Amino acid sequence: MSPKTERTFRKKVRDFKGHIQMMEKTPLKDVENMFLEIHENALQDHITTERKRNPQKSRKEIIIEMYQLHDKLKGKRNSHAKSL
Amino acid sequence: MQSHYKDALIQIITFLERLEETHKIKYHLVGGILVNLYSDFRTTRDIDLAISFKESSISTNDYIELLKQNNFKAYQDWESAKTLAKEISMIQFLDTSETIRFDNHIVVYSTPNKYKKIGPLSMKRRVRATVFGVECWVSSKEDFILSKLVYGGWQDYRDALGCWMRFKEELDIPYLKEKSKLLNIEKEYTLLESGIEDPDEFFERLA
Repeated sequence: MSPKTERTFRKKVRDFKGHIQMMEKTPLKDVENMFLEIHENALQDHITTERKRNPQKSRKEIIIEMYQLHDKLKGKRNSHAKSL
Repeated sequence: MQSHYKDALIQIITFLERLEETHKIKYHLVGGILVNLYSDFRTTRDIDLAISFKESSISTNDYIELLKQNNFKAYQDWESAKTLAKEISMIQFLDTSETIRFDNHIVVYSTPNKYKKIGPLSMKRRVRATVFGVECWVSSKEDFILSKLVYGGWQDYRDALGCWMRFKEELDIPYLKEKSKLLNIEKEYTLLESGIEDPDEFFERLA
């Protein structure tokens, strides 16, 4: 896929304008409940998986490493422009 | 369903609302926690907040002691938190269940640092809002956009663009224009005003 085609594809798939229009019509409470559900499930999944992989690690160690990974990924997302 | 995130938010807002009354410390929520309120849906793991000691008689170290007394937990240890607070004006700590991280920015006045300049502006115009059912102080929409344009990552631009597209009819445009000059983000702001509707295009045009 050429870079131009990929950009067009990304734009169509993302449909940012459509997302924003949907946000305008969705009650905040519904959006926040969805957020809390996704957040809690992801958190519990992460802790369960890490405990299986590294039984010697404390819960706090797992949490701190999760945030370290989060910071690393955030940095990567923010450097996304360079890849375009 | 239990939510560690909402529990942590209630803990910190209860604590900070009390400090406003007793110690005149001002606070407001900033960053990713406001994205659902102001922009497009996305999740975040931590809770960002800014505090100002300008009208308070207590020091950063006193504030850290109060965090300890109120059962908040150190991210690493409290001594490192004190050192980081001095060096980068930010305190990182965890909620009482040691699950949710708070990134607590300390507002710095009179600074040439563009990332820190947004702090006093945002604190001055903070607004009352209900976030996850909790009434609290938050950054205004205009300052949310300005801070996102200052930080300038792909996700930040996406958040700013979403807020602009949702609320452009009600934003304080003269304020945004004036402060974008002050913060040296006129190029980014002009692009936002141009009617662009996709985050990738936003980036390409800035490159």
